[in-house]
Amino acid sequence: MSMAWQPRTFRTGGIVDAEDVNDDLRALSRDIKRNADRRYTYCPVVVPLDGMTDADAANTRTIILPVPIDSNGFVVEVVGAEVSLYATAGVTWTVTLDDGTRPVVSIPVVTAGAAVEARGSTDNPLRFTDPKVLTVVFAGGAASTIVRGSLLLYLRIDRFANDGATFPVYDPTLLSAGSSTAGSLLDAELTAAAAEVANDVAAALDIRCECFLVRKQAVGSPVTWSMPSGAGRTALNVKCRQVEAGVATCTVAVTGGSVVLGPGDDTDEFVQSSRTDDPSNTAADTTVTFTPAAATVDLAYCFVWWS
Amino acid sequence: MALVPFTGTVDRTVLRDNFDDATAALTAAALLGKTSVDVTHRVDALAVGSGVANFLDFTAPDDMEVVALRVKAVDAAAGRTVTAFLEQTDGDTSFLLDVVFSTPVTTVIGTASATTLYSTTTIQRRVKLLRGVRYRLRLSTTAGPVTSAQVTLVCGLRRRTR
Repeated sequence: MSMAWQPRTFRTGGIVDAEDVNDDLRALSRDIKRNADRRYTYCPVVVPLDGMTDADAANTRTIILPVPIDSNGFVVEVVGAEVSLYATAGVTWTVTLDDGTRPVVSIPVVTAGAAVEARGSTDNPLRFTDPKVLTVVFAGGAASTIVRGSLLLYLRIDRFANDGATFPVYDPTLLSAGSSTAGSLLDAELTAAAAEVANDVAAALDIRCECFLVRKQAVGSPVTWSMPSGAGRTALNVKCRQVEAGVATCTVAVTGGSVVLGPGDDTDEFVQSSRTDDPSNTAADTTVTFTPAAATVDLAYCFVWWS
Repeated sequence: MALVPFTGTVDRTVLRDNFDDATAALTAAALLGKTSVDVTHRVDALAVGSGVANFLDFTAPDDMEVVALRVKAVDAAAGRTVTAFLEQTDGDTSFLLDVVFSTPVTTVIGTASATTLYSTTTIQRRVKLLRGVRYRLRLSTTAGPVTSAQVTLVCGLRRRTR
């Protein structure tokens, strides 16, 4: 931890010393770089696995995590994945994570029991940007049902969109006491500094992600959850997916928007309106609801991205 | 940053204000960059007892300060107590300084919620979850099952402080 820079004060009647001005320019440069170095935001995403069986169709044993928003170039890294399972028949499950660019990461989750936890984890980093996705596939080694399970993905998100294209860097050209155009030099420096400060401010997003999921959800049994959002949070995007073999559709509604998925294997998304929601009370809760329409939905889930 | 460009003469006041504005903007961005990390566990049909469905284990991805513990319960009956706990997975308390982190809420017909803040000076318990240690969010209910319940742990991650 270091002390915040207090800019030098130039008073009427005093001398505007070039080195004093340079100190301020250097301080701006230092602060911009410091913020840039700490531009990452972190977010664990919990994906529930309850009810999955080894005999389920492959696409219902698969979770696909898309990037937050199309075309904005946000970089999302999975810096860790952790699987916790309680399952019947003492079977080893294998979890593979594939970001399409790096070697597939496989996590064996050894010999889960109905009341005995089996756990596996990886710290291998995975990275994906639009249009890539992270695909997670579960496979049981023998007949087994997950009675209770969760996949935790630890995300690290770079606030600077476009893969660092707006990365603020400011290297000032320092002033000299002998300059005859101090005013225009200062103009140029302050204009450049202002642009980079604006880049830094624009990148101050605390992006987070939340997963909601239903499996084998019957008609007439809509499920509603509340978001754990904070006051003043802005919803960015909701990315939904449904998997089923029949004719079922499922409506996914997040306060402020909704989408009808299916039938079959379908994906869709919608942009939410800004929400102000304090989760410590029950007023104006942002909720997520899954409503199957005509038949049981094998799997439906959505990732809600927040800022 | 409210930049006021010069037009030939370098005015001291303008120069000072320009630097002040730039510094204030960077400081505000740094403060905004303090991220919060939420971990939420949801249970449909929360049952009495200590079944495996009632808890979620997670490994702290980094050192994080406990800010709040929130519980929310939806039920068709009133008067049941749903309590959210933050514990260590192994049952030890060595990394939580023997502090009991719990938040109860009494159900109503509908939705009830409660929050305990650990970031206020009156409680004076500032506990960090340590990177690599496994913690557990657990829900319990008394006097009967509850339609659904969820617990959210809010932690502060000081990534961009000065």
